[in-house]
Amino acid sequence: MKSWALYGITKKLTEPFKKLKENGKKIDKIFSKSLNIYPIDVGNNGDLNFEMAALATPQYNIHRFGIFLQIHQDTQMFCSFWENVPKG
Amino acid sequence: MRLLGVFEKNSGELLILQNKNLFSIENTHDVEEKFANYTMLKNRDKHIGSKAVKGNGVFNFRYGPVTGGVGDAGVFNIYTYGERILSVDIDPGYKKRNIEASIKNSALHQAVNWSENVCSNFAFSHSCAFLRAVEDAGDFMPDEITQRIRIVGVELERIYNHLNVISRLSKGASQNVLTSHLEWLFEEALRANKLFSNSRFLKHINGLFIDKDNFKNLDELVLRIKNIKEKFQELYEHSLSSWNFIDRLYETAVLDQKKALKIGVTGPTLRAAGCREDLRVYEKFYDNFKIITKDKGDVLARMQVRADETVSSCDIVIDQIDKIKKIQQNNSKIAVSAISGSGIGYCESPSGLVVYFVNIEKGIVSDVYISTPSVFGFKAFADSFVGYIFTDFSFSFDSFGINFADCVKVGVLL
Repeated sequence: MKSWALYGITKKLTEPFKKLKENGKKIDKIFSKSLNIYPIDVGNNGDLNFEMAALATPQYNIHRFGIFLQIHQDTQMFCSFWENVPKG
Repeated sequence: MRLLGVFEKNSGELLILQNKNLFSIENTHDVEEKFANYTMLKNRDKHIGSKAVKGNGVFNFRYGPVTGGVGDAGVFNIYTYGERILSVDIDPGYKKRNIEASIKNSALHQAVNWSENVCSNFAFSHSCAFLRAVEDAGDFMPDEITQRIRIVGVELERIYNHLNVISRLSKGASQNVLTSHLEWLFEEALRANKLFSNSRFLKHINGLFIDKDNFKNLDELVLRIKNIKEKFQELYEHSLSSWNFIDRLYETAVLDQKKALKIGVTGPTLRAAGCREDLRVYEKFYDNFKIITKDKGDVLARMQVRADETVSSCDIVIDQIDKIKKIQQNNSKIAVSAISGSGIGYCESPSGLVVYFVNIEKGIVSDVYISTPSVFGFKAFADSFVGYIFTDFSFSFDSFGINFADCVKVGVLL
């Protein structure tokens, strides 16, 4: 097997971005620069933490769109979420 | 004999005890002398770990509940003089779950959903343990297809959890190429879950009777699992030749067998300390199951156990699907309203034993107690981290594969 550095550049894992058919609204005016999201856990059951980790995987690689989920670093933006309520 | 839980009933105290694959509810005297983890389990909602240390220059480095590096809400009170860690006291009270109270007075189908929501990355293990407790209470066995599909679900859960833990260890050691590839596999495993169950976290498929006809993509699932296995083996083999990586894990956060048994920890943590305990060995439809163990009890050993189990779980999934396809299913549905009684069920989750005690009256859950692996895992982390430095935090913590959602019973502060 090749060294890690060579191995890393011989595989392209990020999936191409699929554009939506619907016209999305531009968010330039709200977020003129990159978007840093700092999640605060308020009692979720863990799947949202896992889904956020999954967003940073090479398949999605959301960093390329300037979106950063700050799970392991300190930043200043906040969002919160709620736990899933089971279906009755 | 292992103490798994302590709960109050009719103003008395009852204990959940385990001896191999046999579980019982008992009221034992001299509990504190018999079980070293009694006090920890009794106070599990308030704090887990060791007492505060005082001394010249010693301070409390309070890590959490909302800070970088801790995804879940919880606080690590780390007592140190600036270099070595002297004591760790964990406060899990910032996260309110209250699942047990939600399960009480629920119908069984609602209670299964609640059990899946204790902790999403162990959702299938929780629902399995709950349903086995219900089956124990009703004194019946599900059909072979249902049991084999449950095995597939549990092993799929193990695969993505283990991949996640190993990728986090790799991330902590700044092995960026390895991390990216492992994270890619982690997402592939979640997609395989979706293909199998229409849920990335294997929710809403478990039941007392699981219909084989609901699973149409089994052939595609086998191909994907084979691919995950092949890629993972290639990456893992290569990772072991990286001394930078191995150096960070070797002899870090050592938990020896004696300490592990005293705490009551189960799963890969116990097996990495050399103890041959895996309750899957007692299950009827795990064919030729082999327990994977290591001796060192450090982060590296825990990673090795998880890596070997990932490969083993891939083989189990492929084998079980092959058998599921060959078996005809009888339509043997059970009238849930007829179920009454009390029972105990367990499941070997990716991070240890999940155990449910339930009391059911005419299909309604009247009482429940849940024993989760993260409670013991937090204590194991707190004990094993003493003597190391803060830089080792991410390796030590991530190697146990635990989280606050799985640990918290009620939530004290909120």
